[in-house]
Amino acid sequence: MRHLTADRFVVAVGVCVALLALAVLISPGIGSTPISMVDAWRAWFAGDCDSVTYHIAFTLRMPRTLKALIAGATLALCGAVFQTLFRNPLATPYTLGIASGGSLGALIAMTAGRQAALLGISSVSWGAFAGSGAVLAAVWLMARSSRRLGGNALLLAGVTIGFFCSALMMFVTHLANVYETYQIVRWMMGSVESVGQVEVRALLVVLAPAWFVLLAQGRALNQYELGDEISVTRGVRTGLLQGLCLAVASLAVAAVVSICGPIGFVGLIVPHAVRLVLGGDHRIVLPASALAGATFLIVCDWLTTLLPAWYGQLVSREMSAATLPIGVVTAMVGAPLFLWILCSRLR
Amino acid sequence: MSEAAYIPSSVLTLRGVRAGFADRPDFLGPVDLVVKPGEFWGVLGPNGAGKSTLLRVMVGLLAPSAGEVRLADRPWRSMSARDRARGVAFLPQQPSAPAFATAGEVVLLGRHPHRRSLLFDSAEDLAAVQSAMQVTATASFANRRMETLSGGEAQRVHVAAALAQQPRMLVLDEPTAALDLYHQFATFDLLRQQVRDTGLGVVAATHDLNLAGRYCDRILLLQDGRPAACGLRDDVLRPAVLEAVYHVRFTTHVDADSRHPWVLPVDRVPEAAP
Amino acid sequence: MAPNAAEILWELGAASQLVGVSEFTVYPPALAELPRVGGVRDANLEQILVLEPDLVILRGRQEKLEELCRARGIRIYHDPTETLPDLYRAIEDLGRLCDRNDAANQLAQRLRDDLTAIRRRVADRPKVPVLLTIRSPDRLADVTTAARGSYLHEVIELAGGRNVFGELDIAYPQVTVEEIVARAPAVIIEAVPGADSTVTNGMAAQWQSLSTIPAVRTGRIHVLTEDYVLIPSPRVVQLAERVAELLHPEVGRE
Repeated sequence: MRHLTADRFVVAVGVCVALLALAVLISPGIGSTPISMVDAWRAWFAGDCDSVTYHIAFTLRMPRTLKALIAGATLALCGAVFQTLFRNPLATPYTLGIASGGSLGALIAMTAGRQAALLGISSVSWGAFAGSGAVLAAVWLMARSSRRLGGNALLLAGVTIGFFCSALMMFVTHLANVYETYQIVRWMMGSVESVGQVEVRALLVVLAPAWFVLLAQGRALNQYELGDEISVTRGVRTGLLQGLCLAVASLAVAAVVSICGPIGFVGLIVPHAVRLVLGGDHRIVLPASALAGATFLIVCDWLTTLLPAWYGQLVSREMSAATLPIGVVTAMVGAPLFLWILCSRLR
Repeated sequence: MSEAAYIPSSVLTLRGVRAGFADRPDFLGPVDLVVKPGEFWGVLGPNGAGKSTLLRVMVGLLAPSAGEVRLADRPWRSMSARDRARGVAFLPQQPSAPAFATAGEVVLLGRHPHRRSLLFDSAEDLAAVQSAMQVTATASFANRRMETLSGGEAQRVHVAAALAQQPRMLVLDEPTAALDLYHQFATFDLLRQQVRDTGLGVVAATHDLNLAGRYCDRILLLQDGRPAACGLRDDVLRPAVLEAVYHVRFTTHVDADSRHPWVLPVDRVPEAAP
Repeated sequence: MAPNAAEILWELGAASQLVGVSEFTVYPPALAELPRVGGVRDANLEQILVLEPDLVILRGRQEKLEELCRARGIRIYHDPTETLPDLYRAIEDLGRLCDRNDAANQLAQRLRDDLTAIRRRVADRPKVPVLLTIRSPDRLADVTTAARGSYLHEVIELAGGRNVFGELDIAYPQVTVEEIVARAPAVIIEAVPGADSTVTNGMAAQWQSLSTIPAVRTGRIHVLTEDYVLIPSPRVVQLAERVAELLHPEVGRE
C-alpha cells in the first residue's frame, strides 16, 4: 500500500526540484546568440555586470526563465486544483473565463491609445488584470446570488462569461486598426520575454502566498474527491475549501495572464501527466505539478528560439535569429509528449 | 483497534430532533433516539420516509431545525468538525472514488481526522489502515486502483476507510443497495462482527427488512418523517406494524436455528393509498 | 480593398474611378470620404454589389469576395506588393487596368529615380547598423522586425543602413531582445503609426537598461508615428527620406 512517508515525498518532489534546478542552471546558456552556460555563470560570479555576456544572460535570459518558471508553476498548480475542484478532467485555469476577460482588458488598454506604466508594469498588463478581475467578480456574484451554485453550474457560468468576453473582444478587434489587431493577436499567443526583473518581482509578490495556500490543501483535496458527504463528515469544510481555492487560484492565474498573456496547455496537461506518473495523492500532485509545469515552460521557452533555427536548417533558409511565440510551442511540444506518456502508462 | 474499544459514555443521542428542507423544514421528526456502543440499529421505512434525512442529521451534514444531537455529553453544535469526525463516521450510498487512487490510499483517507502533520502519514495511521484492511479482507488488493475493483470489493474498501477513521459510531446509508446477495450478507456480517468485537455502534438505513431482521439489535421504522415504531427488533418486525407503514400484507416466520424473524411481503393492501 | 493601392490610384489621378475603399485606408484624407467596404476578412459583399465596381483590388485572399466577383464578372486584381519591385509592378498593372498607362509609368519611374537619388546621396557614407521594430508599445518584448523579402528592409539598405537582421529569410520575423543586444544596432527605428508623444517617449525609455546597445548609449532611438511607415505605397519615398535623414543627419536633404 502506498502511503506518504517523508522518504517518498522527498524522492518524488526532490526529482522534480532537481530537474527544475537543472533547467534554471542551463538557461543562461540557451538562446539564439552563442553564449555558453559556463561563460554566463563565470560572468555572474566575476560580477562582470557591464559585459554583453552578463547582460544577455542575466538581464534578458534569466528574467525570461524566471517568468516561465513562475507562470508554468502557477498555471499547472492551478490547473490541478481546478480539475479536482470541478471534478472535471477538462477543467483548466482558464475555464472560468479568466483568459478571455484578461484578453479583453488588454485589448481595451491597447486601443485606448495612451499607454503608461505604473510601478514598472505596463498599462496593458493592468488592463488585463482588471479584465480578469471583472470576470472573477461576475462569477463570484453569480455564485453568491444563487445559494448553491454547484461545480457544474459554476463551470457553465464561467464558460459563458468567457464566450461573452471573447465576443466583446472580437467586436473591439473588428473596430481596431491593423496595427492594434496585430498587437492583440500577438498578445493572445503569450510571452515570457522580459527586460529586467521588475515583472518577475511583481509576480512573486502576488503568487508566492497563493502557492503556499494552494499547496497546503493537498489533504483536503484528497478528501474532496470522495464527495461532499464523506469529506464533510471527516472534518473538511468543503464550502470554505471551494471558495478559498477558487479565489486564490483565480487571482493567481489572473496575475500570470496579465504579465504573460494566456499561455495555453500547461495548466491542462501537466497535472494529468503528473497524476499518470506519480499517482493521485494531492500532497504530491500539487507540488509536483507546480515544479513540472515550471520546468516544462522553461524548456518550451528554450524551444521558441531553438525550433526556428532547426527548422531553418531543415528547409535551408536562414531563420536562426527568429523566435516563436511561447503559446505556439507549449501545445506543439506538449501534446505529443503527453500522448506518449498517456499511451505508455495505459499499456 | 484498541482505541475504538467500548467506551460506555460514547452514546449518540437525538432529542426531539426535527429537520427537513427549505419548503418543509419540519418534515422529519420529532425523533428521539439513543444509540449505545455495541448496538446495531437499522433504520427502515418506505421511500421518502426520511431515512437519509435522519442519517444526515446524525452525522452533522444537516443541522436540525429543532431538538439536539449529542455525542456522549457534548452537543453536536459545540464540537469541532474534527472531533465529530473522530466520533462518527459516515458512509453514503454511493461514495465516489478518486480518479487515480488505490484501495490502500482510499482507506488511508479515512485517517484524516487523526492527521498530525500537513503532509505525512504517521505509523499509527498505517497501523490503523492495516488492521482495517485485515478485518475487511481488502489487504490483498491494497495496491489496485479503485476503478479496477468490483462493486463488492469497492464497498469493502469504503467500509475499511470508515473503520480506519476509528469512530465510536458508524452510520451507513443503504450499504447493500448495489451489492449481490453474497456481498449483502458479507457486508452485514462484517459490521456485526465489528459491533460485537469492538463495541462500535452502527446505524444502517436499509430497504431490506430481512437483512435488518437478521443482523440488527434494534430498529427505527419511519413513516412520513415520523417514527412509526422504535425499539427491539422483534417488537418492530411484526406484520401489524409493518403493514401500517408499507401498506403491504406480510407473513412472518421465525428461523428455527437462529431465532431471527423472517418477513415475507405477500400482497398490497388494496384499500390503502401509499 | 488595399490601402496602398488606393494611394497608388490617387497618385495616378484615377481616384475618381474609386467607388469604395478598405476599412484601413488612411490616406489621402479625401479618400476616407468614400464608402468603406470592409477589412481584411470581412468584405461587405452587399455593399460591394451595390457600388457596382468593374474591378476589385485585393490584398491577400478573400474567398467569398472572389467567388462573388467571378459570379458577377467583376475583375479581380491581387495586389502583390511585398518588395519595391513588387510596388513598381503594382503601379504599372493598376495603370493598365485604369487606363492610366502613361501616368503609371511616370509614377514608377519617378519612384525609382527618387529612391536612387536618396541611395546616391548616402552611398559614400559608412553603412549604419539599423534595427527596425514593429511591436506593442507597452513593453519591450516580442519584437517583430523586417528582413529580406520586405520593402522595409530595402528602404533601410538604400537609405544607407545595414539591417541587423537583413540575412533572415522571413519577411517579418519575431526576434528576441537578446539577439538585438548581440547585434548591437547603432540606430533603432520603431514603427508605431498614430502613436502620441507619451507613447513614443515611453517606448524610447524602455531601452534604457540595455546600455550595451550603441543606439541606446548614443540616444539614436527614433519612433516613427507617420501613417505611411507601414504602408507600401508611393509614399515610400517619404519614408526613405526620413530614414536616410535619421541614419545620416550630416548629409541633409536635397
